[in-house]
Amino acid sequence: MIAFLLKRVAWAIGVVLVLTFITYLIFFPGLRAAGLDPARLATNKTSTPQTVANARKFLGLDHPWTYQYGTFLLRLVRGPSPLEQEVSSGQADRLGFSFRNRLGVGHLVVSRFAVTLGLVLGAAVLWLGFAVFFGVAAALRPRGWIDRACSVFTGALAGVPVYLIGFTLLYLVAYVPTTGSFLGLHFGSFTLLPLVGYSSLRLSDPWPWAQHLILPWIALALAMVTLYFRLMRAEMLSALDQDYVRTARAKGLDERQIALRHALRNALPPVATLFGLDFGILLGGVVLVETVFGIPGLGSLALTSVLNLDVPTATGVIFFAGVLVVVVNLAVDVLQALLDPRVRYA
Amino acid sequence: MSSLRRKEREVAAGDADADVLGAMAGALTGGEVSGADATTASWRDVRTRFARDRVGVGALVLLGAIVRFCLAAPLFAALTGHAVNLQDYNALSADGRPLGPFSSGYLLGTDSNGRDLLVRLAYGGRVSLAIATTATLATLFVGVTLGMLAGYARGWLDTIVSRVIEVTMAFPFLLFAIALSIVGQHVFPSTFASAAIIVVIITTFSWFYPARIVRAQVLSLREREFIQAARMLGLPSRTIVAQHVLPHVLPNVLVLGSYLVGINIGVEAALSFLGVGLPTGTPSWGTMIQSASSVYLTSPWLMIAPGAMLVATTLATNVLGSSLNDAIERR
Amino acid sequence: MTTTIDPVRPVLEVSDLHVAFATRRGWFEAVRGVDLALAAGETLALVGESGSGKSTLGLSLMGLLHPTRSRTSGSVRLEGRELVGAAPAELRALRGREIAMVFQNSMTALNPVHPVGRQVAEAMLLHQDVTRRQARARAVELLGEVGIADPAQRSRDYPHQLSGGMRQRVMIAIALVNEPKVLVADEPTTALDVTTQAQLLELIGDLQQRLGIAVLLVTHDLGVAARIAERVAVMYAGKIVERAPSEPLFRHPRHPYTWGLLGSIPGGGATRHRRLDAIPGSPPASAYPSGCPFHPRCAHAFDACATTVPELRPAVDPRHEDACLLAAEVKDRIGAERGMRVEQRGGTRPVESGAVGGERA
Repeated sequence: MIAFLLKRVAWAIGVVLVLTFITYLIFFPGLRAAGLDPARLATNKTSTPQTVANARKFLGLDHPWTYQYGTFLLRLVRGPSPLEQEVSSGQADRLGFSFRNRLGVGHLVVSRFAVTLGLVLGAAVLWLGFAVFFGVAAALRPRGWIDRACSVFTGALAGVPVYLIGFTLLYLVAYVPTTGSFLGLHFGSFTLLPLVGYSSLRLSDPWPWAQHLILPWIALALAMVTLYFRLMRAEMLSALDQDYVRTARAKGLDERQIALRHALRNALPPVATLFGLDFGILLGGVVLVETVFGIPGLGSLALTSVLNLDVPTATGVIFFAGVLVVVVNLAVDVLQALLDPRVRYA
Repeated sequence: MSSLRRKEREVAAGDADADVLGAMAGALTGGEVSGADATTASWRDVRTRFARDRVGVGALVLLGAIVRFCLAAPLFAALTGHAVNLQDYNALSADGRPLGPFSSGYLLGTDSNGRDLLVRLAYGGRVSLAIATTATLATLFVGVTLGMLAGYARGWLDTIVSRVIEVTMAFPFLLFAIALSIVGQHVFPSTFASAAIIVVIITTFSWFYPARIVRAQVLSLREREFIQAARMLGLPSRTIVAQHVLPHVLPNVLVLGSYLVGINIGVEAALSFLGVGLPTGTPSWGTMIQSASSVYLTSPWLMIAPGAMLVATTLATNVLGSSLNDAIERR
Repeated sequence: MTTTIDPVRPVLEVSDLHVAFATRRGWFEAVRGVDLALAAGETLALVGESGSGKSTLGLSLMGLLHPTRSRTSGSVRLEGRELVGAAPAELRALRGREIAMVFQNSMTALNPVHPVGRQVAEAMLLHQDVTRRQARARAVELLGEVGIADPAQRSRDYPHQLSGGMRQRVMIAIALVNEPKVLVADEPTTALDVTTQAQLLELIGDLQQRLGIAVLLVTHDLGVAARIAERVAVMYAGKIVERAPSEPLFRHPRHPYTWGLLGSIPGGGATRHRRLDAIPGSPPASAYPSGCPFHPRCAHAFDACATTVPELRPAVDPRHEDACLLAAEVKDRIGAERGMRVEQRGGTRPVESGAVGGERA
């Protein structure tokens, strides 16, 4: 188990190194080829020449780009150098400094990550809850009405891009009630949910936060649920078809006990694996959903920083997203070993 | 939103016993992969079986209709007298808003710039389909070539290909796509270059799906008697691969290709929607959705039209892919 | 723990049992009118090729067949209680408590994600008023009783960590944890090597005698049947074609199908028959032939066999019945030739299986 873990960790570090190397390859030689100055792009238009000069120093633009990659790794390990501290007025952190936001990139990324985490976790509860509950119910009575209804529902969603789902929800659930008109019909208006925007989570009053996230949660969940429902149903059907289920019946267990204690435990690992892979990718930025609903998460930070060619922020976000993917994949491997004794003792 | 990855798993989950789908699931989980072996079933049989599949034929008809609609774009322009980029400010309502569907002379209405939505939908479809098809062909070419090389040559070549696949699969696809696209557009600023960049991005992040499937199939084919016999006869590897391996691999590639076209249309649309794909002036279903997103509350048809085309095309290619798979697999 | 053996009233009584499955071409009857009686402490072997309906019969006794894709009629009485048509809840209360089953493939019949001890305890917790701790303790004890060394340690193992023989012992422990009246053992030793097979058969025999359980041993292997069964019923095409106490059945088999089964045991049969006589053809799988179902494969068939359905009838010995139209003298003559000596339990003659063994840990 320990050897297995070490191997996986070494692999994860290798992947992250390759990933950041390619990011630097895209940004530094790439922008140079386009004749653009990363220092100027990294700062605001109104920035003083002094700030631009600082940015140039910070990014090490007087050196070849491999040097910049080297300082990135060094900063990651040792923290920002005195020079970097000086030009960023002490704000720089291990991921660098965002001149546009006047914040350490690590700080910026973590605060945005909290937003994305809330979005993805909430949606995950919805789609996993639906998929597990109805997947089991559908598998217990294949071709029964639950199965048919769920298949039609999820089938209709398959292949619909998440942003179209999002816009549809916004139109029907937020816009139509607020304006009180739909296809020329008029009725009393009432504000159900806000159209766009985000409100930070306050534990004393979580409602504004939830209110802004309800539609994004549903949209993301609807985009994800088809696959999970189908997988859950298929895995559950195949588990229910196994010999050990017959053994459980022979013991006198009822169908509910059989489904929950015996079949579900065997059907869950593939779903968990899939979830792990998706979870990593989604945490790295639900760019489309965040764009539709105007949520300031990691994805929209990545999108705006790349669109603005804000190199220090963009490289930091991509690094962070990459780390998330590998770490979550690593966690899935461990979880897999915990869920399935055959893997654990392999 | 690695839509390709999602797709693979989706189809694998939907139809667990289908061969290519199983192979795709295997490609995802890293398990052993097996592929359908369709040379035993002749292409005529495949066609007969496919013709009996009403849903599959329906999907093919739908796809054919969509393609014809897009090819007929100049015809729509000629019939309506509205060029694709003709901005007619008379084709807006009195308060300067786009015309709704079934307005006089504009079957689907106009967009915010007074352009005929119907004409743009057809022209946009040409762009979307062209990018998706090119990207699919490029993906299959790269993937099949590398997959066959890795599977047939084995050894260090196989190791390198497999490692590269593993690393690529661990990439946050969309973020890289955004970065590559934006920087690429700054280096090569032209509409054509934007389209080419999208093709390159899609290929970079999807070639490993055909590669994995083909590699696994070639690895197992390699051990089969007829290949062994061909090697014993001293046929050069190139001949064996071209004449004995490739025909066995092609059916799966065809099925995967069908799925990929739908997926790639989605990727182009997603990138364009985010504003990192094609320039907004160029009509494509993605850019049309993008420009509609600022006015969709008051003029929803501007989003519904390209959205419906997008969903219909994706649906048709999905169903077509799964029907082809069933037909090849001989149930 | 001793069950009083009532010689008059059998524990399990099956009469005119029919079982049909839904197939694409309509209903297919796998069991066609079987009568059986099983007394406490007795072992009855149900022998036949795959496809003869013997496993279906075993499953139907447990009520384990698919509720909508199969149809059961006739009567199965467990200590006088009718099981056919009983409410699902009523059946569940009896399953694992009064009537238990040991399945063939222990690798798949045990749940891979639960430790084996828990799987044993589960059956006890379900039917008896015991605490979790008591059930665990009893499971460990029972695992020891079925011959698993270091049961406390092994009970925490997962099925894939045990050998095939150990897993099958676990299966037996699961079946016996509630001390049922009837045990249905469906090919309990098929996948095992010869030595393990012999040990397990001995174990089943011992436990059965100690607990006074009635055992229905379902097997395709006459050698296995010969080792522990007091009585043997030979099944073909959903019907019992010959039934007798072991001794006379093996010594004077009267049905051509039984002759064939005896002939296909390697090393078995009369010493004169060195070659392995497999029965030509295979049992009917979709439609039954008219008359005697065995006649298309029977070397002794004559015209009447194709038209007349033979009934299960005793000849001289009232306990030895057969369903064959051949003249009694012919059966006597050939049966004497084909018969073999049977030494039960611990006999010296090696019992070999026709099946391929070899699921070793």
